[in-house]
Formats: sequence, structure tokens, C-alpha cells
Amino acid sequence: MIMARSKQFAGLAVAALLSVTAEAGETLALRCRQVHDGNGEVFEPGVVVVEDGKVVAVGQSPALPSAAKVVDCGEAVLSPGLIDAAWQLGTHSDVGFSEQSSEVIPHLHVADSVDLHSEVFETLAREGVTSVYVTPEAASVLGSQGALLKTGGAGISRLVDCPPSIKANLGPESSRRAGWNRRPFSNNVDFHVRRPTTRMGSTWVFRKAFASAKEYAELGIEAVNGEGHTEESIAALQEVLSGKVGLRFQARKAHDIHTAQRLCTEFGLTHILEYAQEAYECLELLAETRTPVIFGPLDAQARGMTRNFGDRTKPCLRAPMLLQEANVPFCLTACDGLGESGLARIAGRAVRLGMDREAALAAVSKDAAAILGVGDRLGVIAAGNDADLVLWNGTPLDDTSKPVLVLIDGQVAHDETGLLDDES
Amino acid sequence: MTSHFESNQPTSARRLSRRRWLAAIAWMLPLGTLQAAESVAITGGTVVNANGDRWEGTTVLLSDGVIQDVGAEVEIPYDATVIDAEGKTLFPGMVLAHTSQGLDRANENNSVTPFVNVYDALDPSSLSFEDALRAGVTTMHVIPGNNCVISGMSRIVQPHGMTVEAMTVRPEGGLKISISPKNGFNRMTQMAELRKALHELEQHVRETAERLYEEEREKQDKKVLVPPEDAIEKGMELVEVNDLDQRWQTLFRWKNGELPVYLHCDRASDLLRGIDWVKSLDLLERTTFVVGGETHKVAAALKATGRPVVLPGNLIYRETDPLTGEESETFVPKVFADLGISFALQTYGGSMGEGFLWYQAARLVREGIDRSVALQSITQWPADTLGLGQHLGSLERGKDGNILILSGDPLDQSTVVEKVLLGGVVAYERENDRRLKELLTGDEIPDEGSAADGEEGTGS
Amino acid sequence: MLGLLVSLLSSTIAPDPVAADRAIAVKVDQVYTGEGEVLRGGYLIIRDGILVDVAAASVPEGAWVLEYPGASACPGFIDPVTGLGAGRNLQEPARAVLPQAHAKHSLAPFHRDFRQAARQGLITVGLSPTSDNLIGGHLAVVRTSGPEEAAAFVQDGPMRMALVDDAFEWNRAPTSRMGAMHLLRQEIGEDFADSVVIDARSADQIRLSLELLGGSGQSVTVLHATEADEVRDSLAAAGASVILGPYTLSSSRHDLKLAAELADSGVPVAFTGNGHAAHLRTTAALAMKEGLPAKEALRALTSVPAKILGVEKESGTLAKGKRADLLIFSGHPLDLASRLEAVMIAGLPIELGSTESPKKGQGQ
Repeated sequence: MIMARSKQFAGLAVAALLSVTAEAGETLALRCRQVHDGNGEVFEPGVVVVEDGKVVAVGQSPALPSAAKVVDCGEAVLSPGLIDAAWQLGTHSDVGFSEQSSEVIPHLHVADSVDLHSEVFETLAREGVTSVYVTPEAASVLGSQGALLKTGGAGISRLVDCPPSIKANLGPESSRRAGWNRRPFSNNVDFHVRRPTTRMGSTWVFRKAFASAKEYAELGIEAVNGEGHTEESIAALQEVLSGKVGLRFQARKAHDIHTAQRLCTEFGLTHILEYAQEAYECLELLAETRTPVIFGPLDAQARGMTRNFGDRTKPCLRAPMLLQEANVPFCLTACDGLGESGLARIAGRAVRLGMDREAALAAVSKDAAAILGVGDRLGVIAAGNDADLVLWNGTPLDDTSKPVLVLIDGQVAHDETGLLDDES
Repeated sequence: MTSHFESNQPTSARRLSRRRWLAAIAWMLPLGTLQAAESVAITGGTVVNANGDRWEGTTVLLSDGVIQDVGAEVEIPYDATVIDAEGKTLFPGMVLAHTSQGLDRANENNSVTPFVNVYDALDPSSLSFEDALRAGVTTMHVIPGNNCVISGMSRIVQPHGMTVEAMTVRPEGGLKISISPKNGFNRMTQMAELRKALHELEQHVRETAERLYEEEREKQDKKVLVPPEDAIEKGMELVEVNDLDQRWQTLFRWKNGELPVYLHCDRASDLLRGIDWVKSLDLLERTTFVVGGETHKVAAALKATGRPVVLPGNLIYRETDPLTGEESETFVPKVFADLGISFALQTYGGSMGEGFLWYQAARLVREGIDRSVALQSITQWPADTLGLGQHLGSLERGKDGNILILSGDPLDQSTVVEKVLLGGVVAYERENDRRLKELLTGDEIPDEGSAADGEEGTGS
Repeated sequence: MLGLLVSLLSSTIAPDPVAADRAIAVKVDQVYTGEGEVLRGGYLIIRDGILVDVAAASVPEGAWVLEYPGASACPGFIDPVTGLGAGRNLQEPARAVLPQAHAKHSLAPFHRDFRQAARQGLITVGLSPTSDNLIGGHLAVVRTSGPEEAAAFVQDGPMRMALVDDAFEWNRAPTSRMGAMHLLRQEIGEDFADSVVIDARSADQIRLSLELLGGSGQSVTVLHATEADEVRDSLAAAGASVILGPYTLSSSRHDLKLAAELADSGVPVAFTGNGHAAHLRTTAALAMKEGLPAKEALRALTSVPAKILGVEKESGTLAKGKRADLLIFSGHPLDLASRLEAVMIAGLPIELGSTESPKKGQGQ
């Protein structure tokens, strides 16, 4: 079944890929005032050569293929396309993103719920975000597998191969839906009543599911549907246990971060933290375990629910710098922000708060790609990588500059410059 | 530049912060109860003036809170307090020409309330003032919000002081009126309410006139021998503001051209109607237009009036074509800038980014607007709009000593406000800003010995 | 004059089962066969309810002759997706997946909806489960009238599916599209159904429909397909058909243009009027206004829905060997100003009554 599924997605990706390469036949050489390659280097002036959707050369004056069409970008500056490693907004219909009939759904796929035609992808592309990892809703304790998408380039967004991972959430979100449990005096008992209502309940669901998966694996027998799991979910969890599928934890508060670590130690798993707003309080732990953190949101607002769960997080604006100093691998996410709260502006805030500009740029490109496991093809402008490029009318990430040209897989996703108008 | 707390915090956090505001303000006090020192000289810095002019190695000399001289070769009196600004940038304190921050609620429920005054609602302990100062805003025009018919009187303040009086720069900013319908009203109702208010004012004035005339005749022991119409006519000359009911005084003063009005016009057609309306009352020259995004479509009409404009905080106007479903986006300031119209910018909610005036100005540059336009829209032009252009908005001889000492260029992303001088006195220093430190590090900084501060943590 | 003739004729027309071997000859000025051609000057010859000739030069011995001077004939209208006469009996939200359900069990043959439909020219309809399920069950192909003026079940139609928001309930598994896709991949196996009608509106829903269906020669029809313009190449490549409508005067330009755009890309288009022939005619007229050729518009009411319902061998066009289901209009069949003069089902005219006049109480 799992094989069949990946064939489905592969089919889709291939179909889209075919249409991409059919159109991107031209070789382009973009000559800019500066090229920030995302790996700490700045070429001034810089040239990037793009062919068949890939970067073939980058440098101050690399050798140009004879067929290359040179595009003079004048004073504009090039950077890698930005990558948001945890995105949800606007990618699905009102119906609902995540399957609510069970808290343990690691066998399902976000890709089935994502609307590839959603307009949010156009907006993201326009703001310089060329790839997003669509992460499951936090409503499930053990949620589905996420999906990495390019935000444009072939007319619509498209799925990209990336190491699979599921997402766990022990925080308030997965037990918040328990509010829909039927109250007393109601006759209808439906499957929502089963939900955990507390963190300890959610943790129990997590441990039960993994313990069952482990037991079936040790006994060497086929799983059957049981309490809190189905044969499919067990199969998926066994892939997590064997390391074939990764694990993310959405854990905003410090004690959630500690719980995540504890659970992973118990089952011999490694994980990535999502949002982790209070990561600055767990620096030692994170540094010791080198747990990657997808950090966000970066703003001055206290977040979280207070009423029942005491979940308010305290903002700490220097958190990214603290993570950097403690050598914790991390990247930044906009937490579904667009416009002035979009990823580029979030990275700009980090610069304003004292982060080195190249480090901030890496935090939304190279480092995100590394955490997603696609560092060999995205996030850095280098020969062999995808041609996901953003041209800025000033210094990248600066408040006085914005993306004016965005290429995804070498194709124009947004163009205010008119530089690539004639396709001769 | 610096960052600041979100001022619209939930109640518990506000209460928490309130308990500490005494402590917070306490550290401000020793820096001066705003009595201007004799002489202050800020030396060695680079001046970036309101229009973007840049002068390195410049000294700014102040005396009695007023700028005496700005230049490279300025003689410094021997007894002057010297502030070394080597490596720093000096910039005029920014002016926020229209905001309802500092009020408990932006709008009054009742539609026609010309008698209310923000003086009664201004809260000096509001975090928005502290945030404003930290972000380099030195003058704020606190005015009721846009959701009204006739709201009340505004006030121009500086974001520093323990009482409203101490904060006041000008006790009267102007009257707030909205042409765009308030919530629940349609345009017919809105205009009807406006006309009704003016009509009732007139009725009241006439009654007062008649009464005054009768009193006058009585004083002279004479009877009133003329019909009421003539009595009213004769009595009109006797009417003065203080004769009227207190509820009508503000409106009366405005109607007679004594007060500016800040006219909110959200949509293009509202603006055209608003212009016609104030013209019909012969009050165009006392009007400042506080516009919404769609008015970019009729910017030319606004230019023709030559009157000041305050742009909305949301700088992007979005519209969906009803037939095709296509969305279009317009960067509003660009339309105005291209037509050569001067305007003042507002901030737009948020705890970062658009909540800063300098960030809004940086966005103008991003969209291709001249840097000098961007800088003036947060300094000189809002000062002019408020009628304080002679005293505020740039670093020039004779103007008030509202000066920012920045770590770099005002529109530079990594610039922070290091010091703020209000009237020549240092009113803010970043290195002593404890709340900022907490925000940056998430730590609680222990307070030195103030009993008002407490044991309670702001923690998880 | 025409009215007099018709009333004379109708008074003499009594379906005469005794003379079943008598042929019926119909003469009109134009015959729109529904295959793109217009025949003139000949007779339609009907025997035993089947068309034996569509352009006969002469009338067989002893045949009933029906003449409608100045009139046009076209195939009876076919509405592929309706809920006629069923009320709420086609709506079964209890389970998300019900492939065993059959709409034929909800057929109410004597319901007046069918009589009304027949009188307006709607001769064959698809009775369909609603979009409340991911898999709703089989459509039923129904003839709206016949002997005793009762509707009749013809055969099972395609399987009805839906991927729209209506197909999801918050308290019924699966609650999300990810759950739905997982479930549907398991359900849709080798022997699922030969033909499927799936309600999919957004470009994304259409894309997923084409991903799930179409294997092993399965024919796919997308219902509503509001954003079909964004994926028309995929639709054409998959050989899928589309059902559009009903359109009204307040339908958006974008929607009205769809039919023309899809026809242009080679995607077969059918219209639905939700069981009302008047809506069918309006839909066709509005689509033509936005560029759909008349030929395609007529097909959309006749041969394309016939193919979708799987009855193309016997219905949908006026051709030799097909059922004699035809309509006689005073003018072009797609002209809203034309009056429906007669309806023949299997060669037998039906009582039209006063269906063409406005109902009491209507109109403002």
C-alpha cells in the first residue's frame, strides 16, 4: 500500500517535471551586482548560470556556455530562494486538513489534503519563498506525513521528493479538540469522545502507539487493528522506529521540549522540534543532543492559551542568536505569516536584532534545507542545485528591498522587472 | 532599531506591567523632570536631517531645550553638557500625526460627541508610550478613532511624563469627524447625522442669541420690541463661546474656523464628498484629510486642495475585480508620491515591523519612492500637518530639541535608538532599558530595591 | 394555423396498441439529428418505437402521418444528474462510502416530477445519489414517461462519487481529504465500476479525481468542474467528460465560458438542469452566448449525456436503429423563443397539457 502511494506521488511529480523541462529549454546567465550564495559567500559582481531548471555555475565570472543568454540585472542582488520548513496556512479547503477520526494517523499524507492550486502559493512565491514544507495540523497526537512543495514554477505548486517524517504534538492543540467531546446530557456518543484531554493523556497515546508498534516488531507478527491503532498506523510507526521515517515534535514550551526528548530516548528515536518558542530555556539539552529546531514565531508577542492549560510562552527576541551561540542546528519559520510577517521579513528582524546577515539568510535557506534533508539540492546557489533564485532590488532581507524576480526550477514565478519577457 | 512589547497585551499581563510602571517611570525621573539644562552639545555625530541631507562630524548645540546651532564648527560654551555622539547618527524625533494609542478605547459608542476630550482618556502609564519612545517617536497626536460621526477633541503629546499635563505639547490638536459611515450606519445616515449635528448647533446658537439679546435689553431696562427673528439677529453679535452649553462649544469653535478638523475619508467617494462638504462650510483651509487606501484613485482631487494628508497604516490597498475575480494590489504611498503630494505615515498595529514608523518609511524606499520623501513623511510633514512645523520635524536652529541618537542610518535595518532627547533633555537611554532587555533575553532582570515591584514572575 | 392542425392531430392520436405494426411518419422542416447535421425535406419513419429511417422520401403504406409545418425535430433531452421524484431518498449521509447503493431503489415512478419533466422534453434522466458521500452508489437511468404515464427504470448508470466539501462530515470518518484519499485508494480496485460520475469543483479536486480514476478504460465524468479551465489539458488527456450547469442569468462570465473552452479543448460537455428542461435550455442558451457552438450545445443535451449514462446505443441522436425519442419545436430547439409542440417517447406522443404556461402565482 505504501508503495502504491509513493507511485501516485511520483507520477504527479514526474508529470509536472516534464512540463517544466519542456519549457525551460533556455540557458540563462544572470549577471547581478551581488550574488549571496546562501553558504556565507557573496560574489560581487556575481553571475549565476541556469540550465534546464538547475544551476550549472555560480561565481564572479564563471565560464559561460555558448548558448547562454546573458541577462544584465543591473544593481539588483541575487539570493537563494527562501525555504519555510513548517507551513500550513491556505493550503487546504475548509473541510479540514487533518483526519479527526483518530489521533494516531502516521499512515496518512498531508499531500492528499493540500490544494496545489491554492493562491497562497503565488503569494509565497512573490515574497521570495520558493519551497515550503507543509506540516500536518497539530490536532493529532501522532499526525500524518508532511510534504515538501515548490511554490510555483510550473503554473501550480508541486511536490518535491524529501525524506518523509511524521509530526507528534503533545501540547495543548492535540487535546484542545477534546472540547468537542460530547458533554453530559447529550445522547450522541461519537468518535470524538475518545480524545485525550490533557498532556498526560496525549503522552499516553503516543507511548501506547509506539509501544504497540515495537511489540509487534519484536514478536515478528502482522499488526491488527486495536485500541488506538490500526494495522496501517502500526506499519507506519515501525518505519519511524527503524529510522526510515523521521519524527517532528511541535513543542512550544520548555517542558514539552523535555518531554519530547524523554520519549525519544525511551524509544530510541531522533527528532526535530517545530516552533519551540522556549528553546532558549533548554539550550544545554538541545546542544547536547544536537536536536534541530525550526524556530518561530520571532516576535514580541506572548503566545499560547492561558485559560485551561497555562500555556503562555514568553517571547525572547534574541532566541535565534542564543541558539546560534549554543551551536544548536536551527532554521526560522514564519509560522504562516505573509506580507510584513512573511519569512523574508522575519529573517530581516533577526538581522535587526543582531544576527549576521549571511547567517540570517542561511537560517531561511541553507539551514532549512539541511533540516529537511534536501541540502544536496536546495537552499544554496551551487552547481547542480535547483535553480530557485530570488532577485532583490536592494540588499536581501533588508526592509528597503523586496524580491523583484523569482525563479523556481529555472522558471519565472514572479517578475516585476520584465528582464525575462522575451522568450526568444 | 529596537523592538518593543506588544501594547495590546491581555489583561493579566497588563496588570502585571502596571504594577511595575512606577518602577519603570522611576528610572526616567532622575534624568530630569524635563527642565532644560542651560546648554547641551551633541558632538561628533553624523546628522541625517528630515529630508535626508547628511552631514558628518556635526555638532548640535541646544540651549533651554531649543536648537541653537547645527554645524561642523560650532562653538561650545564652557559649561555645556557634552554628549559624545562619535560614530552615531542624529535624526529628528519622529512625529506620529494620528494615533489612538494611549486611549483605553479608540472610539466612543455614541455617534456625535464633540464634547469629549482625549484628555480624560489618555493613560500616561500605557505601554504604548514607552514603546513609542523606545522606537524614536517623540511627538504623538492622540486622537479618537475613525469609527464615529463627530468624535471629540484630540491632544498632541510627547510620550514621556507622569501626568497628561506633563506630556502635553499642545492641549488641542483638533476635532475628529468622519465622513465614512461608522459601524452600523450607511452613508445616508452618516451624512444625516452630520447635518443634524450642525443643525442642532445652529438651533442652540440661535436660542442663545435670543436669550442674550433679551438679557441685554433687560439690563438696560428696556423691553424687547422686535420680532424674534430680529432679536436673534441682533443677539448673534453677542454670542461668545462661553455662552453656549458646554456640549456645543467645541463644535461651535470649529464651525467658526477656530479649530482644525481631522476628516476621516475611507473610500474614494467619501473623500470627494468630504472635500465638497468642508468647502460648502468654507472650512477647507482648516481640514486635514485622514484617508483610506482606496482614495489613491482620487489623489489628484486631494492634491488640488493643497491640504495635508495622513495615509492609512495599512499601506497596501487590495481590490478584487467583481467580474473577473482578479486581485490587484496598490502600494498607496506610491500614488501620492508620484503626484508630488506630501503626506504623513501612520503605524499599523503589530508588535514589530509595521508597528514602527521608520519601518513604514523603509517600505516606501522598497517600493521605489525617494528616500527623502520617506524620511520627511515621518518627520517634517507630520509636524507640518499638526501645525507644529516651525518647532518640530527637523534639526534646525530655533526648533525644539527633540533629537534621536541612533546607532546608524534611520532606515538601516540594524539601527537601534540609543538615546532620545526631548526638549534637550535625555529622556530615554537604551542601556538602561530594563524591559527591553527582558524582551530580548526572556530573562527577568531583578529590579533594584523598589517595593512596588513584586515577587510575581512573568514566567510560564 | 399550426395550433389548429396540431389540436386536430392530437385529438386523433390515441396510442393504438392494436395497430402496433403501423408505422408512424413524422414530417418537419428541419431534423437536428444531434450528430451535427440538419436534414431537410424527408420523413422520420418510426416502427415499434424505433427509428427506421431519418430522411425517407416517402411514407410507408398505412402509416400514421404527423406533419408539423415550419417545425424542427431534435432528439429528446437527457439530463444525466437529477433527483426527480425522490425527495430526500437519494441523500444518505450515514456512511462515507456506499458503493452497494443503487438509486433505482429510490425511484418513484408515478411521481409528478417525471410527468412534468417528460412534458418539457426531458425524456431520459439519470437519477443520482447526492454528493453527501465520497462514494454514493449507482445512478439509475430512467425514462421519464411511457405507457400509463409512469417513469421506468432502464438500466444501472455510472457510480456516483464526490470530493467536494459536502462529502465530508465532521463527525463521520474520514473527516479530511487525506483520510478520504487513503480510503478511496483502497476502495477503488480492479472491479470498482466501469463508469464514474464524480462531483469535483476546484482544480485540485479535479486533479485528484483524475489521479484516482480512469484506470483500465474506466470512463470518468466530472460533475460541476467549476475550475475545469485550469486543468483542461489534463481532462482532455484523460478522455474525461464534464457535466456543467445549471446556469442562470446571474452565473458568472467565467462559468458560462467554461463550456466553450472545454469543447475547444476536445472535452465532451454535457449540461444538467437538475431535472428541469427549462433550466437545460437556459443553460444551453447562455453557454452559446459565451461562445459554445450550437452543434456542441445540442450534443450537450443529447448525445454526450447519453454516453455518460451508458445508453448511447439506443438514445441521444436521431439515427437509424435508435429509439424514437424526439421533440418537435416551433423553431430551432436551442432558441429560447421556440415553443415545444410535441414530445414523442418511443414514437408515441405524450399529452403536453399546459406545461408551457407560467404557473399560477409566479412572476414579479
